[in-house]
Amino acid sequence: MVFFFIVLQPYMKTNCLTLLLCLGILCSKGQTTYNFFVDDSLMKTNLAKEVDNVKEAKIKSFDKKYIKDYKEIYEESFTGIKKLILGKESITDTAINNYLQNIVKQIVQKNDELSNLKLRVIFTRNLWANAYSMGDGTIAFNAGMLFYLKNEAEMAFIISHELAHYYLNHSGKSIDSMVQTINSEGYQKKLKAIAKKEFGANKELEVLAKAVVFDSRKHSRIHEAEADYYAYKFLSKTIFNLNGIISCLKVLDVIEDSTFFKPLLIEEVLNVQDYPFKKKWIEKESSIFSEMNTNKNAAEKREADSLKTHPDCKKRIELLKDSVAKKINNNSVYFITNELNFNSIKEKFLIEGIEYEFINNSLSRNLYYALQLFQQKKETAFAVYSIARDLNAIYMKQKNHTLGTCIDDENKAFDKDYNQLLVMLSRLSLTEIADINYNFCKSNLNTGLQYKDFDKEWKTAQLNYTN
Amino acid sequence: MIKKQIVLCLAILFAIAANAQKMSIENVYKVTLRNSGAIKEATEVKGYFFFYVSDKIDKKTNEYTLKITDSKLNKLKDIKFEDSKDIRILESSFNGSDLIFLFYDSKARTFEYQVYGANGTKKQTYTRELTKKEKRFLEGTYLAIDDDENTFSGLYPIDGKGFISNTPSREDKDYTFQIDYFSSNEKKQWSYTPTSGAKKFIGDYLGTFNDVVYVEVLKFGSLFDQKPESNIVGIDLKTGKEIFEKPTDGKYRMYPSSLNILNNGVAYVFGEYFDVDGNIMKDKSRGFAFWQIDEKGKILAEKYASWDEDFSKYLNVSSKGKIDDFGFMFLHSMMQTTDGSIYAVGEGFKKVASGLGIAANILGGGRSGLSVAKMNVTDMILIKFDANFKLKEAKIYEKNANKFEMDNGMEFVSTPLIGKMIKYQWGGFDYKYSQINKAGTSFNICYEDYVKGKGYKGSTFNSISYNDGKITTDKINTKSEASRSSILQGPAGQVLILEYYKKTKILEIHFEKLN
Repeated sequence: MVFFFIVLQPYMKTNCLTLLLCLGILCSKGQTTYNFFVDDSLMKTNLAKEVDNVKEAKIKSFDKKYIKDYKEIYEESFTGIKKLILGKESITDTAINNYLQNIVKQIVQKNDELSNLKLRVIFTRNLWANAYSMGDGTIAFNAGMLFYLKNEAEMAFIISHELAHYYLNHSGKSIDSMVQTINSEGYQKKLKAIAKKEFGANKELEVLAKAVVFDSRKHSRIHEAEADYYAYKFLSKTIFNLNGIISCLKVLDVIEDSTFFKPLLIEEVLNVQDYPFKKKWIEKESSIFSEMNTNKNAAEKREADSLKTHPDCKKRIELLKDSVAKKINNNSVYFITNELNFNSIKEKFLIEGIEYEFINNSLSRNLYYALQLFQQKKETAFAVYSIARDLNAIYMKQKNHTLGTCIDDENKAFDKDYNQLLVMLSRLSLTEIADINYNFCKSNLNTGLQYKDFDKEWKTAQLNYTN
Repeated sequence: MIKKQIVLCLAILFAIAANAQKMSIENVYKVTLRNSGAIKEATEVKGYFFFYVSDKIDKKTNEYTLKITDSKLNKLKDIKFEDSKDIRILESSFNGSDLIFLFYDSKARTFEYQVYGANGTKKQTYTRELTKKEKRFLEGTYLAIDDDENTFSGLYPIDGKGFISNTPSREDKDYTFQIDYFSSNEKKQWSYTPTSGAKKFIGDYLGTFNDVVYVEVLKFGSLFDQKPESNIVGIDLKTGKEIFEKPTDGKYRMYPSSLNILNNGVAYVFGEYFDVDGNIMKDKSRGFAFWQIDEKGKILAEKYASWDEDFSKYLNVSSKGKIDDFGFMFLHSMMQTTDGSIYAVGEGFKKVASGLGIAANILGGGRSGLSVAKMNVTDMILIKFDANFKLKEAKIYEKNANKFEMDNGMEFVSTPLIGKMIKYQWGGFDYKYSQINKAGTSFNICYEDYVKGKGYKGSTFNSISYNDGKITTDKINTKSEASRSSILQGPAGQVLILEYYKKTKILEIHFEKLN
């Protein structure tokens, strides 16, 4: 069950500028490499085995009547869970995992009803601001989610919310409801009647489909409110300050309208003395429906509201605020470790997340973040190294006509500065990519060479430049 | 890997598990894609449209959805409407601010031009009713062509003002053409259809300059006339009135292929030229001509580059324009870059003896139906002129020859005429399209080839590209691990690669740049 649907991708927004300032300090100390988390492969294997066991038990419990539908849904779900755990996305570094389990323990130990649950709560390197319960006991907490939070009490609320989803079997109930609906006599009868219709069949199908989806989303919103309430209940028995619930929901309420990074000034960042930035790389072109009003009319707004999976944050706050106020405990805490440790983890998560974009073959995103790091603090060896590595990879992919599989396409949903980078990438010729990289590396050579692996990228950049 | 999966018709509402043994929304919901295509501003792709039947309303009426996307396939708008079950979209165009679609209703015999503004709403609708005779004529010409490369493109943008349409037309006993102007800013339209002075007319829209629409008109004295008169006609963009009609005769006779406005704001027509009394349909050209022309049709200056004097410095070319191994050139397109240079792109073709044709004629006593000559479509050629129309370079880009047998008697048809038949009748050239960006800083010339190499055997998509004065070539193998793949025209300097994987039922779509 997904907690939040907010994406912390290049184009999305938050207000954690302080993070970058901290990172600047981190990188300006002259370190020669970045110490990434070390994943524990044994832990990953054991977690995957646990998932297999859950799957086996689940299959045995299916209603035999609709076994095919259940199998189809759960097969896909379990495949996804195992992929997450066994892949590079999940973080199983011992220290970081211990930190997370310590917070989980604070909640579980104080709530007897949770003590028998077999849980697998993990951090991921994903920059999408999200946390989700996968229905089998696996709960994923994305790196991108942590950036927005101010303390461990807010973090504990999010974990409690996901625990509640699992405890209340929301995922299983939703699947049951869908399988029952699509197999129900009434639904099948309607479909058969529509199938026989010569005219207007699709219109009736849309009505039927909307009814099913709206109903499912309505239940989803009810589940969310229920999970909030249970999260409050779980959390109120712990040492965490309950104000974390309200502050967390307030953050989520405005998250889409705030900015994570300052806008990337690509004309400045990639402007070097020997190879000035060319305006034509980002110049605006004519486009279809350039003045189209994207505001929704009343009917569209109603439909959009009906499709929402989560209740409005303001409503969620309204539902909990009185209960929270009554239960505030003066001895409660915002941190069970300390603020410094919490912020240090956030900083590490940003670098882990950025690096994961490269591992995940998302070159445009990785380049965007690397340029952001560079813009915020010029003496950043890791940023220079990453930019050089990205441009070399982009050069090679473009040469082989596969670049389109690892960069985003310009999209109105993205932020203006990220779109500008995408426009630029879509216009650069092979020679221009090589020229930019060579000249960028040359003008930042001293900084780049502070990073262990930069030399290799610099050599490749020189080779591409002379070709 | 970032994948873009197109599910044309089923939105999230229908993402409910399907099961073949019982009814599901997915297996009841049926939509039919009727048309799709690229929306272009001149040669640049600015978006795509997908026109499909989204429901049946009654026996005569369908509900349609016209999905319009930007050049990166992001949905911009779905336009839903009900109309006759007999409509389809023939063409589209974009003039920098407004968009036009040409709908054809085969039963009602109407062309309907719908103009949409920058805000996404419909601004104007223009309707043209066709007579039965006209419809039959169009079915044999314009409507018979359904090509992605727009070989017979008939909708041209006038920057920010409107659109010019050019379609064949039938007036009484005359076979002619009709130029229409559709304003996008106000409800205003005019038509121009030549009917006097000949029995048959073929018109090519050359361009618009200072509110004058320039059209190349071929006039045939009879339906079988082999020596048409070539004229340039100027039409007032505001009124539709003919301003001038002048033969394309200067020092030599010219067959204009395009009108370009040079950086100094002067209009030039470009094309191949012939002897003064030459036949532009049948004679071999003498080279290239560039005429400066004013708004009254007066030729102010003439420049020529001949095969024998100018091209021979760069190629082994005869005075008749035959280039060794390459054959004769069919001119596909001419473009001007921002530095004033003009590039002409052509493709070679030549008649060669056909072993199969000769043998068949001997065995069949001359009744085989095959010609003793066959056609070889040879290499690509790129010719560069400087801003003063002086030939600077001519380079041949080799590719594997296309060979095809011809019908008996074709060996007697003149070579230039055969070039036109290869292009418009047999579709035998490998050239796909040319694309130049608005600023004139880069262009791409794209063509197909087939290679039999050690590492790869199959068709290839090739390009000759210009970027800031530098010419490069690129090749993409069109055969991949996908079950099916194809390459379509993308935004400036890019192609759209579609790869369908049958096993996973995934259609992967990605834009790739031409290097």
